Amino acid sequence: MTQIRRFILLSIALLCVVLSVRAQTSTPSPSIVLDAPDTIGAGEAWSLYVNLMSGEAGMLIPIVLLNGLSQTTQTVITGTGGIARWDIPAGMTTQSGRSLIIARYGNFEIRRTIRVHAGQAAQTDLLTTTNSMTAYGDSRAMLIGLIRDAYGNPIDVRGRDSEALLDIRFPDGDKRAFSLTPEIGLVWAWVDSLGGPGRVRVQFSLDQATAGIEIQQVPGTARTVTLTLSPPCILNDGRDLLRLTTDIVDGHGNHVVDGTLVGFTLGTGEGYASTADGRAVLTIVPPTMIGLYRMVAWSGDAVSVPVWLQVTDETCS
Amino acid sequence: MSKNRIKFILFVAALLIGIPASLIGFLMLNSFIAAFNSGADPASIFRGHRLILPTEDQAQWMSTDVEGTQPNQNTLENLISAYWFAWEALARAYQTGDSADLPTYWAGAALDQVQAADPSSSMSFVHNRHRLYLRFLSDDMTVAVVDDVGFQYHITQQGVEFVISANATLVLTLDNSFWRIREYTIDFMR
Repeated sequence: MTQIRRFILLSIALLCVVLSVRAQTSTPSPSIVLDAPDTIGAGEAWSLYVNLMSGEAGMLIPIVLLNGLSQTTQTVITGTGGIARWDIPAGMTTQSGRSLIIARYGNFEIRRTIRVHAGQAAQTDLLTTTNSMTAYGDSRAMLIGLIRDAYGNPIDVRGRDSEALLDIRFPDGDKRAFSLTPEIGLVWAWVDSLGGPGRVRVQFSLDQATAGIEIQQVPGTARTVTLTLSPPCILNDGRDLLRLTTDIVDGHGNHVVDGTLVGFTLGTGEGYASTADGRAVLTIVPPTMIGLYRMVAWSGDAVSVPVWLQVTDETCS
Repeated sequence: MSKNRIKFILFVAALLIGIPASLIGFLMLNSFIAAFNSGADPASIFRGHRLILPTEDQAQWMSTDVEGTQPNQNTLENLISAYWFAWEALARAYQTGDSADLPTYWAGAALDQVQAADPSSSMSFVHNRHRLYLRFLSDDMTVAVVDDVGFQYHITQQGVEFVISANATLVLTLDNSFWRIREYTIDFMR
């Protein structure tokens, strides 16, 4: 009998040791539960329920709400059944992303996340990486849209490809709709030039957000330079001025951009002028030595056909 | 007290004030010229902005391989520096209540959101381990999208410290030679 009693006592002691070790090593069950919606829209009102499993009333529980870069702290007091409610008003949880709620009760901390969705598109910044591009499909520009909701949250337009379009009107009247590539935070597209020089009008609209910009389509580089002299024959009395006029067009017959540099080779000398409306004019004092002078104008790689100036002491025919 | 003694005291006092003042003036002028030469906003030196790179523990590029335009070293350094200092400006605003630095690194909607968050409460704010992935860079290198994965920040509020991990997606734009955060989204992790 004594041995049996010893065995039972030893077994009870062992059981107690095992149970106490297990109680120390196992994770305590959460004593507090946070109940909130999984998802809300930016700026919406919502409620957070704090449930103390012990059911104790009158307990103070500090809570931190991290929404984007804004932090709000609130201390709630549990009521009957150990439940407290925090009503978050509209316009407070405005930043999209996953927000974090942290509650502390004694040494125990519990966290919960809540997904805040951006609202409808309300604002857009339309950017271009170039203000001008060469016409005729010879170059392209990158257009970038930063689309935000009323609270400034970036909109994710993935899955809305048919709605998020760039409407573009080219100088020749052609209209095109360009689809945009969505990245998180922005949309972008390459736009190739089309038609001749002029203004390209770009419009974007999505929900309430609209934006528009203009890009300049400019002519190509000089292809044809036409030089004319006025007068082509001049007396060597030094009383007249010589006027050299160039008309410069690109490969499609359009005047080159204003300010294009034009060089003039005048016998052994040189002169320079820049274009306005495709025309560059240089006025010089003509040579006084009698003879024929070869004159050429050039811009970039394009060179004019040589023209000849006659300087004479007789009458010009 | 003799006239000569008063003159001597005035001379010594002027020396004591004048030497440190001229030294400080010279250093400020030096910083101003250095900042101007490096393309920075010269006014930024008065707000404590320095063009330095964060350490690897603070912020680090993990991937810069983007489709299309490849970034150059200069752009990457300017981006990571601006991003780090944007967080530093925010931390300073939380600690001191002085948000004068924020517009240097934050712009547009992001600046509005940061200012609406009212970073004026007395709170300690430490951030590190920014692991950056470049997602998009415009062809003229003026618009960038960056993911910051698993960064940490510690907030100490009313004596209680919270350690928080989060992911962020940011749009930065180059305005007047400065990269600024224009849009951001933060996803906190539990």
